[in-house]
Amino acid sequence: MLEEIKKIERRMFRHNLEDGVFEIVFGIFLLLSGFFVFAYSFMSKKTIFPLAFFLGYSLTIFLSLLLMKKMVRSLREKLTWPRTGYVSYQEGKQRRLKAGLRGGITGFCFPILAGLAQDLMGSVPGFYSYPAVFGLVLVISFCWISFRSGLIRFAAFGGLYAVIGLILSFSGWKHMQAWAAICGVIGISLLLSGLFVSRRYLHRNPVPAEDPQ
Amino acid sequence: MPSSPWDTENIDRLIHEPARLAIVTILNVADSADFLYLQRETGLTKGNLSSHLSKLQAGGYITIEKTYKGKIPLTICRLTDQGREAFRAYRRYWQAFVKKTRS
Repeated sequence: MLEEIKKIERRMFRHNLEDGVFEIVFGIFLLLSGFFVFAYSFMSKKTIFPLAFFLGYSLTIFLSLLLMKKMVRSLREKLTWPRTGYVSYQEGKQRRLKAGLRGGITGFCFPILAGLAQDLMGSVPGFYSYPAVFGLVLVISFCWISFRSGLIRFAAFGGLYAVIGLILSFSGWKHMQAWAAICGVIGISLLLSGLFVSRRYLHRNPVPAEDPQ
Repeated sequence: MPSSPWDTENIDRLIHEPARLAIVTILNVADSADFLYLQRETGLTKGNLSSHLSKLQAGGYITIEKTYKGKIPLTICRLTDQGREAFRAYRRYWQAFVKKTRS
């Protein structure tokens, strides 16, 4: 009986990530971040553009954290809920999963902003400039998500990002370009994975032909 | 708490039924869920699910709100505080049961 209860609870955790919507939205966000950092790396520090870009990006990140929730909800309203029904997680243990996701995103964004600020002030790029840090932050977040949801692909992503982060850190690239590369790689992999998972999910779960009530 | 491993008097019969237990477990994790979601997760037919939801509502364990999203009718179910407490007590009962049978 207790096993049955645990099984149902685990399935509930997993449900939130099964439709691939979160991966798509997070992937787009990271791709945009990658483009930004890449563009920033070519800007002359003597002009006002890098500062304006930095401020704009800071604002965009915080707005994105709010917009991501709305985007996920909007996509789910169109894709997921008509097929598998509406469920909202505002109480109970699902809070921890959401807090973990938010922590992962914040943990990813903070080093970018800190590193950019450091770069903007002209100081020597320090700890934050290494993409390996991003990889390690993501290993922890993604392995935790994988453990809670039982979805192996997130642990695989975490491992992959750690390796890519380490490779980029020692590649000899300029640190800004290495950031752009890791953001881009992670963004593309999440986006592709999300699209694949979402397509399979939609294929497996057609809209019920008649009124479910 | 059961006095013997086979003490069945303390079992909450309203939750003990497997289909209703599945419904209550889902609603304990979620804040709210609609009829379609519960139907897919439990694998029950519409009639069966309706019947179990009515029993849980009559017992004061869940609330059912009928609403619309556009033109689509939605039946949103939520666990009440009484239902949540009953689920916790049921879980505690089984945990105690397992502990007793192991010792």
